[in-house]
Amino acid sequence: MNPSLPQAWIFEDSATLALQLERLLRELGCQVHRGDVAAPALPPQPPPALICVALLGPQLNGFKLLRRLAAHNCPKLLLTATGRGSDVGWGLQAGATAVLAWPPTREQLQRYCRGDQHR
Amino acid sequence: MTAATLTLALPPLRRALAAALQELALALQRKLGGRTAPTMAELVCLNLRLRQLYQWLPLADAERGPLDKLQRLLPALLQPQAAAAQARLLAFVLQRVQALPSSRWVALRSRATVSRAAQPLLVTLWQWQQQAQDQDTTEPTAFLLVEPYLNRLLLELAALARAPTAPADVVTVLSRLYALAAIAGLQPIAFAALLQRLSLALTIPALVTDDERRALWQALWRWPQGQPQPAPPLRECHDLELLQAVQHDLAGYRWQLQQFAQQTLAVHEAPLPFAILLVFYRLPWIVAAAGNTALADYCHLWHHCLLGFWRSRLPLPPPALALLCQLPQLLELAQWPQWRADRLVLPHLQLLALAPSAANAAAAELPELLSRAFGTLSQAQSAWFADADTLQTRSDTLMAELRQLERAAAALRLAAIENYASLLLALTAQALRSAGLHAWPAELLWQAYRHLLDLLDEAAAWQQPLPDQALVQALQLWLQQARHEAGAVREVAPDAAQLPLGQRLQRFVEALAQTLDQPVHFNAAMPALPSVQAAVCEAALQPVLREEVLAQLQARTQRRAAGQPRAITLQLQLVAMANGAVAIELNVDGIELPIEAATLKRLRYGLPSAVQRLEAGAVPGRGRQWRLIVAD
Repeated sequence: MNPSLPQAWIFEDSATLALQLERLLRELGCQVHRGDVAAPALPPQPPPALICVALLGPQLNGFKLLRRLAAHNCPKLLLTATGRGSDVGWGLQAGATAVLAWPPTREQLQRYCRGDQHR
Repeated sequence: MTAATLTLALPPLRRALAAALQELALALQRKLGGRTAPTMAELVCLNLRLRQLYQWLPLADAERGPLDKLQRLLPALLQPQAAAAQARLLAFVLQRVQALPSSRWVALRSRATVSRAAQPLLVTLWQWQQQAQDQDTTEPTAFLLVEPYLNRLLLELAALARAPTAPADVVTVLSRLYALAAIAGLQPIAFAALLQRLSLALTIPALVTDDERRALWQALWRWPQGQPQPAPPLRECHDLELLQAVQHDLAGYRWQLQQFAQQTLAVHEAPLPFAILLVFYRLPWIVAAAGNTALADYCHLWHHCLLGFWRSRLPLPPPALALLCQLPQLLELAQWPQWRADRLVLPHLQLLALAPSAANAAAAELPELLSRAFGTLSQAQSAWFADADTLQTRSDTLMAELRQLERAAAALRLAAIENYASLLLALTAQALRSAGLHAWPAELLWQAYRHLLDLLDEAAAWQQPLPDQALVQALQLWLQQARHEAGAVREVAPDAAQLPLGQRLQRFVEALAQTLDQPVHFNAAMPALPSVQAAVCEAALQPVLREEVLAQLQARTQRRAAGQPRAITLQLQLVAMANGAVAIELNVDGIELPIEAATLKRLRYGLPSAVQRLEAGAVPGRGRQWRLIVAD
C-alpha cells in the first residue's frame, strides 16, 4: 500500500464492473482496494480518499453499506444502474455524496477523486 | 461420466493416492523425529490433495473407508497435538501405503537456495513433474471426467497470476490441479512446462517480461476456452483480464438462470424471485463490457419486462419462460463469434410482445415515496432518543412520517413494513406518554428506529424487507409492560377525572384497542373545555368512538382490499366555538363506509341532553366524518 496516493475503495460484487471501475480510478492516480461487501470496513490508516459503492448485488445493499461507512469523512459515490430517480433521493439521505448512473465517466470520478466538489 | 471412463481412470488415481499417502507418512516421520517440521502450507496441501482424491474414488472402492477415517484423523497432524496421537496416525498411514500398489517414496529435494515463499509452490511442482514422468502416457485418458474442474482451476490460476499472490493460495490451487491432472492422465510434459512458466510469473514476477506474461495469459486463456484467440467480434478482445472477469460473472448468472428455469418448470406459476430480477439489473452492463451490445440491449429489455412482472407480482407466462430458458446458452461467451448478425432479432421481438402493459407496471413504488417523503426518518440519530424532552421536539414529524409510511406500505401490500411502522408509532407514543413512570428506553428506541432504516434501505433497493423477530418481540414486550404500568398508575390516580378531555378519550381508545387487539391511532387536538362541557363531550364521544372502531374492524376485508392500513386512524378536533357552544369533528381515515340510519338513531338516542346535534357522513376519498355540537 502506498499511503502517498489517494486511496479509493470499491464495494462491488461483480468482477466485471469492479474491474472497470478499478481501471478508471487507477488512471486517475488512485490506489484502488476492493472492499468486502459482506463485512464492510476500512482500515483507519491511510484514510480513504473516495469510496464507491454499487447500489445492488446478490449480497449487497448500497444504502445499508453507505450508512455503515458513515464515519469516514470522504466523498462516497453510489453507483446505480436502475435509472430510477428514487435512488438519488434515498442514496443522498443514506449518506452518499453523489449518486452516479452506471457507467460513471472519468470526468465524474475525477471530480470526486480530487475533492473538487468541496470547492 | 460413465463407469467405463471411471475404471480407466483408476490406475493413475491409485498412484496419486499412494504418492500422497507416502508424502504424508514422510511428513509425519519428520515431525515425530524432531527434524525439519513440515510447513503448514505443505500439510494443508496434503490434506487437500487427499480430499480431492477421495472424492474421485468410486463409492464401492475399498479405500474409501480408510481414507474417510484418515480425513478425520488429519487434524492431529494439522494442529499440534500429543506425540502419541500422531504416532497412531503414522501407523495408520503406513498401513494404507502398504495396501496400495505402485508404492514409491517421495524424496524431497534440498530447498536451501529457494526463497521461503516459493518453497511450497516448487515442492508441488516438483512432485507433479515426478508423477508426470512416471505416468503411463499410453493409458487411455479420462480427460472428460475432470475437464470442467481443470478449466475452473486454470481460470483461478489466471486470476492468481494477475497480482502478487500469497504462496498458500498458489500452492492450494496447484495442488488441486496436480491431483486432477494425475487422475485425468493429461499430456504431462506440456502441462508441466506451462506450470513452470506460471510458477515463475507468480513467484518472481520481476524476471518475467511483459511479452512473456502476455503469452502466458494467452496460453491460460486458450486452454479453458478451447479456442485459439478470444472471440473476434469483441471490441476489447485483447483485454483478457476483462474477459476473464466477464466470464466469471456470466458463469454465476448462467447457473442462477438455469436453476430458476428448472424450478419454475417444476412449479407452475411460481412468482418471480428478486434474485432473478437482480441478475438482469447487472447483466446488460457486464455483457456490454465484453462488447456484445446486441445482447446487452436484449438483456436491458429483459430487465424492463421482468420488472413489470415483479412489480405486479405476476408469474412469468409460459412463452416468456421459454425465452428465459434460452438465455443461459446466449451467455456462453465462447459461442459469440459464431453468432449470425440477426441472432437476437427474433427473441427480441418475441419479448417485446410479451412485455407487461404499462398499466401493470405503473403501480406506485415505495422507493419513489421513500426518496421524497421520509426526510426525517432517514436521518434518525441516537441523540434524538436520549430522553423524552429531546424526542418530544421531533416526535410530531417522526410520527407523521411513520403514519405516512404505514399508509404507503399498506397500499403497496408491504405487510412487514406496515406492521413495523404501526409498532413504532405505538411504541413512540407510549414512551412519550409514560415518560416519568419508568426508566427512559433510549437504547431500545434507537435500536427500533435504526432497524426501520435497515428495512427502508431494503425496500428502497426492492429487496424483501425482513424484520428482526427478536427485536420485534422485545419491542412488543416493552410496550405491553409500559401499558400495564400506565394502567396500574391510572387506576390509583385520584385526579383521573381532572385530566383534559383529549387525554381521557385517549385512554378510552387505548383500552378499546387493547380489548379488540387492533391498532388504533388516535389524535385529539382539543383545547381545555369547562369541566361540565368536557364531561358531556366525553359521554357523547365515547359511544361514537366505540361504534366507529367496531365498524372499521368489521370492514377490515374491504379496507385491506382498498389498500388501507390495518391500523385505524381517528382524528378528533375542535372546529368551532361560539356563544359557549362547541363543534367537534371526528375524522376517520379509510374507505367511505355508509352509516346506517338505525345506527345513527341509536347513538343519538343515548346522547346527553346538552348535545344539540350529531351528524355523520362519508368524505369522498378520505373516509368518514362525525360532527358533534354541544351547547354551553
